[in-house]
Amino acid sequence: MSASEERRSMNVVLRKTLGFVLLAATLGVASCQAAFFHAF
Amino acid sequence: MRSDGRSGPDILGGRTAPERWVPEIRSKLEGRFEGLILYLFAILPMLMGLIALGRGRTDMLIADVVSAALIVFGASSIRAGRKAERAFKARRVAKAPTLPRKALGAGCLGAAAFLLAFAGAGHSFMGGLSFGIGAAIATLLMYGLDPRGEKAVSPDIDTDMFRAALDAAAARIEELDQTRRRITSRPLADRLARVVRRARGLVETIERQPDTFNRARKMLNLYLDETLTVARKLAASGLNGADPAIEGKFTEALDAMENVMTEQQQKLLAADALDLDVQLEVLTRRLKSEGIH
Repeated sequence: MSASEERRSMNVVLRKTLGFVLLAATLGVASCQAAFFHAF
Repeated sequence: MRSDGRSGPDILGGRTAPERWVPEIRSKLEGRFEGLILYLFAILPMLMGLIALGRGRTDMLIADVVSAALIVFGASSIRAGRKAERAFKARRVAKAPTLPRKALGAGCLGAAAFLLAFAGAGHSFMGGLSFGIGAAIATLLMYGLDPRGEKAVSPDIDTDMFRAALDAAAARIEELDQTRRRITSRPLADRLARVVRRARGLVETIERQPDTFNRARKMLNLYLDETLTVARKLAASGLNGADPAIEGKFTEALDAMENVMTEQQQKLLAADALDLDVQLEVLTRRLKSEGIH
């Protein structure tokens, strides 16, 4: 694997990780807060 | 293990093992599991819906059910979008899907996040909106945007027509393969398997060299129809070696088809268009005269 391919593949991993963290922080947190609101 | 010291590129079609198998396995695994994680986000709204139902809170129940439905629909749409994107990338000639499935999925997940934050967790409208936009951006970061444009062959060939012809040919070859499984005579089934392999090779050649399409189109349609007719008759006849005379006739016909197909593939590559038509006509006449067609 060439250096540019390696860098591109690393970028993809970073982008996907960032996306998942952001999704967990929005959709996940909104769900948890709504569940808390329902429970109490 | 081979004792002559030669490694395995021959069995792998001239490529080394990692080149050939790793991307195939990876793409299969990606296709099966990619996007499944998104469904997990629907579990909590479903549980909350049960709680709301138990407490008799209809407004909360509706918000929870709609959110869960949006998440499930969004996840399915993203999985379908990724599948379409993989197919688009894998083909040399293709048009991007008209429906932006991944963007639609991201929109659905964003709407679910907005609904959960605004109606479920009691955030302000703007607060809920920022949750929604954040979730949509996050989904697009994870799965990317939908492919656009088209991978055209040349201005002379219509991409849609090219794709439709090749897909139809692939479907006919698949039908031929299915028919082959119903043939009881082993030698005839083996011969037909070889014809199927040749036909696949021919389609691959056209896909690899789209400039051969105009010359190969007629042959692709007619030839596959002829072969399919013979295969259906073979499967319906239920031959199992009891009548060597009829079996011999079919064997001869299939051998002729295989040979013609091999020659045609070579001629396609050599751009000998006129000869293709003549050869096709000869084959059709021969099958008719033998009473197979």
